[in-house]
Amino acid sequence: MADETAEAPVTDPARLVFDEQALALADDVWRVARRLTRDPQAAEDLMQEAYTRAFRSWKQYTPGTNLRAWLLRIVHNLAIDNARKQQRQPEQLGLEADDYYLYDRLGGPTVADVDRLVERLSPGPVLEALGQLSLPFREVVVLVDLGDLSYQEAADVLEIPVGTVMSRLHRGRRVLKKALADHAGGETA
Amino acid sequence: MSAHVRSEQCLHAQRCVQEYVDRTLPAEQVAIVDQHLAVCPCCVKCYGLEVGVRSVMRKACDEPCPDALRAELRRICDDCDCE
Ligand SMILES: [Zn+2]
Ligand SMILES: [Zn+2]
Repeated sequence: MADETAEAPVTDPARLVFDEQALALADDVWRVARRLTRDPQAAEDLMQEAYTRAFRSWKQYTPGTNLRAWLLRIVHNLAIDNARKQQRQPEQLGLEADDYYLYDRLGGPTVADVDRLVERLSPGPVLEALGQLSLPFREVVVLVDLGDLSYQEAADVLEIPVGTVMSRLHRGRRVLKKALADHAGGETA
Repeated sequence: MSAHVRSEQCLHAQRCVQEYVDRTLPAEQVAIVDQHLAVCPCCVKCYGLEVGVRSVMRKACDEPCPDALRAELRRICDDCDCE
């Protein structure tokens, strides 16, 4: 009985595979974590918490499923906890904008050269507008547009219906488009 | 405010823009939208903006995980001996 635990623990090879795959996704997870937090330091804390939790509960991950989505779910849960602690105002979208307003703002109904339009748009106003979206809307935009999750994967991560993902995405992007259009429309004649 | 007439096809294109850009729109709907975009400069601009906001955001957020943090994550990994 006394000798029972004498042997050194051998690391499960599956654990090593998990470790490398999870660490290889650090850039992807960072992109999302960074936009769910106010500043880089908060994002670093969130990343460390998330990876600590991920390594501890690695056995709950099913190999062959989307590991990015699995990690982002952990990030989401932690971000929600943090937001609760800080007692942020829930569900507040900010400005509403009619889609057609945006196009009118960019000038009359002429064909826009999409590439030139994008070139003209600077990231500042979009990032600012993104930071001002309330968490439920920001999360959907960030998970789909930056985390490359499908509607269904985002719905699973957030535990909300796919239809809710789509409507939040629509409304969230609309706010960003308005920020862009106001900016682009304002600086050109 | 521009006073151009928004047709039924324009409204349809507007309803589809998100799924079109996210490539989740059924193929037959894509064909209908494409036909409309070929003749409606206004909707082309709408779609351009939808694509534009995404690409501007992706470009702006394309910063890699800081090296020091990456090293810290590796350390967290090595320290964790959960079976
Ligand atoms: Zn149209
Ligand atoms: Zn139109």
